[in-house]
Amino acid sequence: MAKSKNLWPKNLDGTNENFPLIELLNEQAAYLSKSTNNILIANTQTENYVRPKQKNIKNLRLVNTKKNYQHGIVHKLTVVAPAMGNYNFELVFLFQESAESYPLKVYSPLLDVEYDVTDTDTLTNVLGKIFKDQKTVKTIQHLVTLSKRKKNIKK
Amino acid sequence: MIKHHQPNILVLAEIGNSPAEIVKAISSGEFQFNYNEDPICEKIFIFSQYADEWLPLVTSTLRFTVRAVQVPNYLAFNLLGIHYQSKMHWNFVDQAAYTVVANNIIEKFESQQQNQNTLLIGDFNMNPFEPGMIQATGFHGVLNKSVAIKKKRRIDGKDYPFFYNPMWSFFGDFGKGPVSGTYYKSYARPVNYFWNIYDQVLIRPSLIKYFNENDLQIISNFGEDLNLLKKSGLINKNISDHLPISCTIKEIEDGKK
Repeated sequence: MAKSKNLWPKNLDGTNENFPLIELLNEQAAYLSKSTNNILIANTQTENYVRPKQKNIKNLRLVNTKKNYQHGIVHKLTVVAPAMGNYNFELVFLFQESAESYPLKVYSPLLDVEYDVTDTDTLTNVLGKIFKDQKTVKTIQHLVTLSKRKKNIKK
Repeated sequence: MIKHHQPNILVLAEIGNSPAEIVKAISSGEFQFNYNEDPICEKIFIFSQYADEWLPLVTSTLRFTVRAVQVPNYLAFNLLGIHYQSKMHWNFVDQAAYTVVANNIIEKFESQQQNQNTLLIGDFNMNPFEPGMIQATGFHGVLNKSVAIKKKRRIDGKDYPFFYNPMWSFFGDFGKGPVSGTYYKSYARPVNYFWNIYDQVLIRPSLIKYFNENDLQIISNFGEDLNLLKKSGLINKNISDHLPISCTIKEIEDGKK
């Protein structure tokens, strides 16, 4: 018989009130496939990352010290064009800097913009802004056109 | 350039004309070029004598483009064309810090392509000796083959593969070729290198035996047709502020170009 009582809270198996980031990205990935009739697909990945804190690095001696790098988890949304030999590009990075989902940094390598996000509503708005940006739309349309052309060549 | 160097693949940055105009200008007779378009990359433009099927896109960002070159008789390799962030906006520490990102991308596409036959070429905006070009978490370039052929080194439990950077061989008056760099700048600053080798080619050790060392050059003229240098020996910036570089890969079979 245990000699101590259970000190763990009872809600450990419950769902977090925030929508899990990767689940949100997975859903958006599925929407992209649907919106392009599966000509493009998107996949998501979660990796550890080490990201330079550029503004804090003042001289060379500090470059390799841990305090100048932010360690965390990055969730990536990558767009893939199967008809183009799985050509891919990374559309969105969500940099999660602690075990908590928020705050996080959202970065779009395509638009070269970064946002600080504190909750799911803001994240949804920011992702919508990135997806609807003219450059994103034109790039996606361009990839769809190139993919269709490749498919026609193969036929 | 086309007449004198007869490139199969031309990697250009900062083009002043449209790709269509360039294709028209460089194609004639036996040299027919395609524009191998990248829908994402805004800084690098690839023109080649091959259709996209021979060098399909693998991945890209705004500043670099990666293609899987699969030309008959040549070892299949990954070609990364890059125009890295300029020193006008980023100092060398910023540049070095960000090479971590490039390193991750290289690791990812090599894993995807299931080979490390990778050649990097372009304007790195860093000299071969700068931290970003050297550091294991960056481009990890080493200056001699005897180190490079060890393929990798281990730091803190993680293996980091080498690149061989042959561009070191061009430094100084006793270096290879008639010029000491691809970019010349005279700043009124305490530290100034004058000649810089920002335009570089780096290869993984697996490509060393296919790399034709004698053909690697910093181009300073197109024969008698055009001198890219002024009479003073400095770069004629009315033509281009950087000098181009060229390299060749040997055929698998007979070791010729």
